[in-house]
Amino acid sequence: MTNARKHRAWSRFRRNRSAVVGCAFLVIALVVAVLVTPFTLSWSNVQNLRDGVRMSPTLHNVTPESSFDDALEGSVAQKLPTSIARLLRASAGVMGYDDLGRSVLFRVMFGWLVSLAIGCGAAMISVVLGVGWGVVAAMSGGRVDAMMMRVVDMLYGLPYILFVILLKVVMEDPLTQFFGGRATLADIVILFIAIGSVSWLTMARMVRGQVLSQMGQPFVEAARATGAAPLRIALRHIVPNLVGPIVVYATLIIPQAILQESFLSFLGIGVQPPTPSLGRLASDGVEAINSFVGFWWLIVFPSGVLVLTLLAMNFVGDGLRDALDPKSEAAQLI
Amino acid sequence: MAAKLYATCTALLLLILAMLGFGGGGGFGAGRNRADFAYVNQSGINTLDPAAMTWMQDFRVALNIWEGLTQYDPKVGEAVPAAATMPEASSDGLVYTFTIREDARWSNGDPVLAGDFVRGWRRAIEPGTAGDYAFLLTEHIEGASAYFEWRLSAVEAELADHAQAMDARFAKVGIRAVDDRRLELRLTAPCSYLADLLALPVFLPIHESIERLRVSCSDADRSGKIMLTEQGLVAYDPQWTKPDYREKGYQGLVTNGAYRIEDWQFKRRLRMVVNPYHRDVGRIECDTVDMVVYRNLNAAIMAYEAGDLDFLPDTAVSYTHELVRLGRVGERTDFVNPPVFGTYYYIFNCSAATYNDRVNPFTDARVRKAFALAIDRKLLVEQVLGRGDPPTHCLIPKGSIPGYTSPEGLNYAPDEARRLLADAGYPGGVGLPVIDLLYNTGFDHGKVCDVLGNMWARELGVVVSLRGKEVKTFAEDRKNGNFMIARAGWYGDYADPTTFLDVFAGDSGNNGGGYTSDAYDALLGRARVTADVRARFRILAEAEAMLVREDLPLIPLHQYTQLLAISPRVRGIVANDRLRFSFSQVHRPSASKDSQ
Amino acid sequence: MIERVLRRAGWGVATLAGVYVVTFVMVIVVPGNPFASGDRTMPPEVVRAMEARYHMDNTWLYFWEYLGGAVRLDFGPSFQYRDWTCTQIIGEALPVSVALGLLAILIAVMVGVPIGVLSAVRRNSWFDGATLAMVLLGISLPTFVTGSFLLILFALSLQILPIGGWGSLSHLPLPAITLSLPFMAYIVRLTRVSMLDALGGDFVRTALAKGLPRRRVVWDHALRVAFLPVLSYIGPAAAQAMTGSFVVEKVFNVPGLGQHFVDSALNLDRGLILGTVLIYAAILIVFNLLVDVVYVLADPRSRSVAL
Repeated sequence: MTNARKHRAWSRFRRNRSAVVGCAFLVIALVVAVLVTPFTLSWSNVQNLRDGVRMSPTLHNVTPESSFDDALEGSVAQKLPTSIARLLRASAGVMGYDDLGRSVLFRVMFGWLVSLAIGCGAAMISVVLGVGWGVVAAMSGGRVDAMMMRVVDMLYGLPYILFVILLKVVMEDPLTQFFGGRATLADIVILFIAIGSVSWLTMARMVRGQVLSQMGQPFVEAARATGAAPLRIALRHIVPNLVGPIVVYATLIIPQAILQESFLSFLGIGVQPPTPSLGRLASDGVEAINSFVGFWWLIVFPSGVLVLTLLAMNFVGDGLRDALDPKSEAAQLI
Repeated sequence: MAAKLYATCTALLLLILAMLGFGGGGGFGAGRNRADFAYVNQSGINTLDPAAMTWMQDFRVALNIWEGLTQYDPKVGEAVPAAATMPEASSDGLVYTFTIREDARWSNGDPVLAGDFVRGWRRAIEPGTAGDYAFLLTEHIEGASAYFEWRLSAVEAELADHAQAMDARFAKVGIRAVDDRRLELRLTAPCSYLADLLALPVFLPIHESIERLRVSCSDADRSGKIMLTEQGLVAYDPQWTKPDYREKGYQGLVTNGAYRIEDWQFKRRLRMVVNPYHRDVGRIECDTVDMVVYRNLNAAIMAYEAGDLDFLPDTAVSYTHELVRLGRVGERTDFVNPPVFGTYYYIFNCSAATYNDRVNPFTDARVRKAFALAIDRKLLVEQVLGRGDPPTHCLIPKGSIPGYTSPEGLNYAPDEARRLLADAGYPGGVGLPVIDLLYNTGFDHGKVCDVLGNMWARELGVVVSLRGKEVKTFAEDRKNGNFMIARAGWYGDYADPTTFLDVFAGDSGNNGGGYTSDAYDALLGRARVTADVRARFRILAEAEAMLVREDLPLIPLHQYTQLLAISPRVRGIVANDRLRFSFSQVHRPSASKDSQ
Repeated sequence: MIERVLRRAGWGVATLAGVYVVTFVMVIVVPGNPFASGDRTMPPEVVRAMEARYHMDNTWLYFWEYLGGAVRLDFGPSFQYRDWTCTQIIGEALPVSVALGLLAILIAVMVGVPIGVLSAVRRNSWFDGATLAMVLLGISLPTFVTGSFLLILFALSLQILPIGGWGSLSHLPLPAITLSLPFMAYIVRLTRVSMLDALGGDFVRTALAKGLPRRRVVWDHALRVAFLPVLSYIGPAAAQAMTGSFVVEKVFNVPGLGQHFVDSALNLDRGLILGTVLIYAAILIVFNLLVDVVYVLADPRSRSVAL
């Protein structure tokens, strides 16, 4: 992409108010999450069964300081400035406490990161698979191309939920063992592999289309005339021109993957306790809706953060698309 | 264009609605008339074959549409004579002769015969049809175990003359129809709880029409619709339990209980209607009973509140504790929370030296004991669950079996736990691998596991990892010993301690933890040959003490309770610890007032 | 035209075969005993005999047998629910899912297309902005949140609609609307983009220059072209709505096919997994084919080519 085009795209993006707001939201959230994660990693599962169970939002922290200190033992968080720790502790109760007396704030903060990890992991996998598949198919052309696209069609015919569950059954134990018995990590990896490997199909179709349209361009013809190898042409001349649509599509896969994870959580097959994810927290909250007793903070905060995050991501993805490539084929597909 | 588009869409819309509304597509209209009594079921029926069923929701339907020799009466709280009168027992307590009631009738009007019981029980010990409860017959009925083993030997080896010898071999089993109405039963040992046992579905009679659907090698159909019977497995077309199955002259399921099935929609609704030939038909007020499937119990509770359902035998939602509270303070008298004949516990893997290449420390009884002592059950039960489940330190629910007193178990003693762990070579948890906790996802199991893990981490300094699995893979893992600590639970089937204690016997199929103790098995063996009930209970209490005080293959956590919601519109649903409900006893005061 | 449809149909059959092979391999690779139910152990002899009975000891034979049955819509017995055949299970659930999915897609089209057209016509107006925000909200809200919200509002608070279930017309609106929202959002966006394209086209300018009323040009000439991408989206969307509604089914207690996708996989119920996947793929292929045919009929350009 030339500098001038980059500049034009950037100024278009800047003029899109909602995209800028979404972007700011995500950046701030990310910075906060990175800062607090060393703490929330352990604190999101600090239980207070004696007097914190289902306590409504409060400005006072009800969990004993010692529980927090114990949980941090041996973690990197002890090396971080104590002011962060103090601020976090003081605000532990602002979103209330859940059914095990855990701070909803800490769980939402950590769950946000878990959801983001699943989303980004899935996007990464679909970029690698989708771009690879699409480029190879388009460059090979003819029968190979047709066959490869048939495979994509066929995989569209597989319901992703089945794939996710079977993948989980097969990979759960080996992966847990691989991570030294820590089931949480294995869980997250399985989820983003499963979601990623079902969301690369559209990416592959889009990339193939883009590559085909680029193949006819004079600069590719020129490169081919100089006798450059197909792989070289692809990597040096074609893929760099596709960065725009690929980035746009990848940013839109992230919220999709987070949403898929929340569906899986709702069906009870997402991230397993004690690890929180936004989807898990929101679906737990929604399942508790009843006409007898209201734990509104368990519904409103996780669902709110989930929806706001997805909204921000979609705004950014939308803005990026408009900025980079307002009339491309990608814009139609996405 | 727009107009055309709209015309097309509207036409399609009307077409779909018409197909649904008038054509009855997708089962539409079937649920429009509400039954006299409707109750909820969360997961649907697994099977209605009495020989194969294991789940409580299946029992519930089976015991209302069939009737055994005895029947558990929720009002009385024990098994009472049903299809037969009180049996005559021989002086040594080994031979019982039952006389089938003269007015016992199948739902097609046929009289119930002694042979129908023999047929049902024989199916229950045939390797092709036997299920989880077959052991009740092989253990208690003379010759049944030998017959089962003999039949099993032919499953894979093609034994000559085996098929011809079958009837002769079965004649040696202690089940015999003396004549049409008299049934003789010979036991392996005297059994004080026989009446209770015979009320279980595995002892139900089967109508002779099932024989039409018996499949033999010759008429094996390869389409998979009918099972093949190579390898000597006796098999029946598994669809025989359907009320509307018509094949080879079969006229649909015939049952002998107060109800028969009228309509069964998979995982959606099962409608029972009163059996017109049943002797109590005049006294039954609810002519139609619906079992409605709600996968989402939260929605079921809303439907109950709206009056669509009369009875919720299952209310496992995340706010159950609040419903229990409303019931307890008297604000909602329709919510009752009886203790149930079951215990919630965790088991250790006692046998495998390693688990996933990590040393399994739980082969050492001291480590098991340390983990058991570090659990604060009161905190778990009161603060986390809040449903009023009594915390327990032993396996058998306290006071559930008349005459039996459970031993005292181990109380919460964290210091003692740490000392034991240090004795075992893991001071402060140092040297222990990551402890793997296996549970099945759903309801509160993950929460409880989380709390236990936290307690162990805090009290013993161990690192835990939770592994939540779906119930099927969970059961497989637990059965294969693929765990360190796993969730478990057991509901008793009959009023005797062995219904719980047998689980941990060396030859038990349910002993997932691989616990074996010759001393324990010897105690169970001694109890089996002890005729005096009190002496027998003392031996069994000794065995239980061994489990919960010395060897600790399990950590008992709490006795189950079950929150029931019983609509004030109906009377006669009696809360009981077996969770068996007799719909023929249900009264509808409002309905009878209407008719006056 | 006919040749093209036939060729596509041929490809569809090939795709279906591919789906079968892939699913079959997945199902066989997954460990676990499909016959185990309950908690107790089956004698190994019986397990082996059962495997032999269903030809599971011979993967190759099982592969062909199942395929042979599937062609005749006989998906064999369910291993988890032994009283039922997979064909019966699918047969009870499929009409429910098809009806619900079609309703949802129809609602999505009937509401989504006009909104998309209006927001394209009034580009950059407040209406356009609000539409965009609503669209993104529609994509961002998980269906279990919207569904539960509608349930509380209409069934619990206002008490004008039943809480859940299936069996009368009043059971339809809530699940159908909930299911339609994400599809509606996509359709609005798709219509808007392609409408903007169409409005910039020469034929629109010509029509306007001829003095045709703007209203007619937009709703007739431009929409005819702009609807085509929506049409090709409807195919896969309808298939997805018909079979992928497990979340909505759970919220509203609808006895559809979606639950069997989840349950059969969790139960490792081989016959039912294969059956549901084949039905899903077949629906997808049929709808793509249908849309293809309609597309050719609707698109003036491709029709002239075909002629």
